[in-house]
Amino acid sequence: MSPVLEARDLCKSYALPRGTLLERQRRLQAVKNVSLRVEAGETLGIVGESGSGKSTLARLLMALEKPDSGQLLWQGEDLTALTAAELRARRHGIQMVFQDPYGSLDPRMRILDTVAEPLDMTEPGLSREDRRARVADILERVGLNPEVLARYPHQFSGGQRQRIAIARALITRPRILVADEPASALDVSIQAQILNLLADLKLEFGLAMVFISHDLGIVRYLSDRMMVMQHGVVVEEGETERVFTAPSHDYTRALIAAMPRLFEEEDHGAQRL
Amino acid sequence: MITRALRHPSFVVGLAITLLVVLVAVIAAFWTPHDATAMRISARLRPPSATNWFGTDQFGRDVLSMLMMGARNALLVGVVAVGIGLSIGVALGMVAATREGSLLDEAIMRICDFTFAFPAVLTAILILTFLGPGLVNAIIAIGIFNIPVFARIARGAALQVMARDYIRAARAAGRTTFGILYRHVLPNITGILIVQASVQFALAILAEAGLSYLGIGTQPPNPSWGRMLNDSQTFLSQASYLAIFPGAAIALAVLGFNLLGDGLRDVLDPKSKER
Repeated sequence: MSPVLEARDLCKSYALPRGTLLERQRRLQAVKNVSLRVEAGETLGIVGESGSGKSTLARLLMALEKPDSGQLLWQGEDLTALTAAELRARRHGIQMVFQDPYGSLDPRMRILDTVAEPLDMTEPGLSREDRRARVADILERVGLNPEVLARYPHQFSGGQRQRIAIARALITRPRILVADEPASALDVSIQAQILNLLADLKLEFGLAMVFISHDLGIVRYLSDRMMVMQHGVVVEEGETERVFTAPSHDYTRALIAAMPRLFEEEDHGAQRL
Repeated sequence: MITRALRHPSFVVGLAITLLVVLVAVIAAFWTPHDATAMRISARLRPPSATNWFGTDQFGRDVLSMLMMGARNALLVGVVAVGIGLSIGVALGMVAATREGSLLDEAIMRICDFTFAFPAVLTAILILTFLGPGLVNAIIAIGIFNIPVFARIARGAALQVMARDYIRAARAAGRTTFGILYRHVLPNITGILIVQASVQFALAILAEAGLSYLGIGTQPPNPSWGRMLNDSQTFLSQASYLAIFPGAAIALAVLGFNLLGDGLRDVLDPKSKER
């Protein structure tokens, strides 16, 4: 099977601010030689602690940032080689759900316009009624009452906002969804709702998903395959269950050992990172 | 937000004064008690009375009528000069923000710094010496100095907005840079721009009064508060009201717009975003 999205040797570094004028420019290597494949309908989990380059990788996969080197193949086509206009025309196939539902919705835009935004780009000729109907339909699928169309983001809770963000991501029927810690900014009671919703929608829409999290339990629950990142490098990857039962890298073992467990005595055997 | 605004004292007072100035200017467009430019030498330097509420000047012109026409003049200067600054400045600032760190960004911001290095009114005088005195040129000179103010503010505010995830989402949706600036960035920096516009409006009125006082702004016979002040100097001991009324008008208008700006700043403060 050919992958929906494939990354080959992606590298990305950022210039660090100089301490003094004459200091040599130093760079932070955020993502280093990362390669990955996502097959149709498959969920790839990416775990790692904060600062491990997960979010940078997400932005690279979304072609929101240009990699320093490497290729990003979307259905066999290298997105990094396209012009801005060509890239825009292909964006609707890859959508993203962000971590912070308070920052990912424009506070000055009505829910109707927010959710319809990707649709406006792909089908600009849509009539007002059709546009409204499409938005109402997708809102219903993510579990929101379509009456909310005329409201503004500040009138919603974090969980509802994340549902709105998911609706926006799915309205153009993407083939792949990149979810960057979609539940970690939410209350624990809401987290499960959002994660279950994503799992359901994945089946309903036949989505492939890149699921980024620092929470191994969630990744284990949602993903078919997983990758472990540390300092911008992939240290381990494989079938999710295989990684959990037989981790091959020390860092993976340490992460798994550090997972909180219910109904267990204090874990004296936990390895230190 | 509206109820919160109406409970804010400086917003309410500022708005009231501003509306008063605007109302006077609008009325002056259709009606003044006397013709503001008609001279009656027989009735010169009359103190305030029932026929001439604010008295007459050395040519027998009605001071109230001149003040009313002067309000029109002041508002015209404010609207056009701030308009020039807003439109050009915000465009430059937003372009600079989208190209943060680029040569273009550096060029725009260093030119802004350059103009900031000179006192605005002094350079306006310089510009007017080149362009020649007159209201239109005064407006242009004041407008030019509003450009870097708005450019800098727009750039800073736009950079903040553009770091938000909804901008990334818009890009992922396929919006162009211009589309993002227009649909997302501009609506989210409008509050800051409105606040600054009201402050700049006050400064523009003050600058026009200053330039007209020096004789290089509004030219006779068009009434201007600044020139009325200048004219009154000769008669300060005989007819002090000639200085008091235009002086008070300038002070009131400037105070009004400043208070309005202060009030708006609090009301539109993003940190207290309860609507």
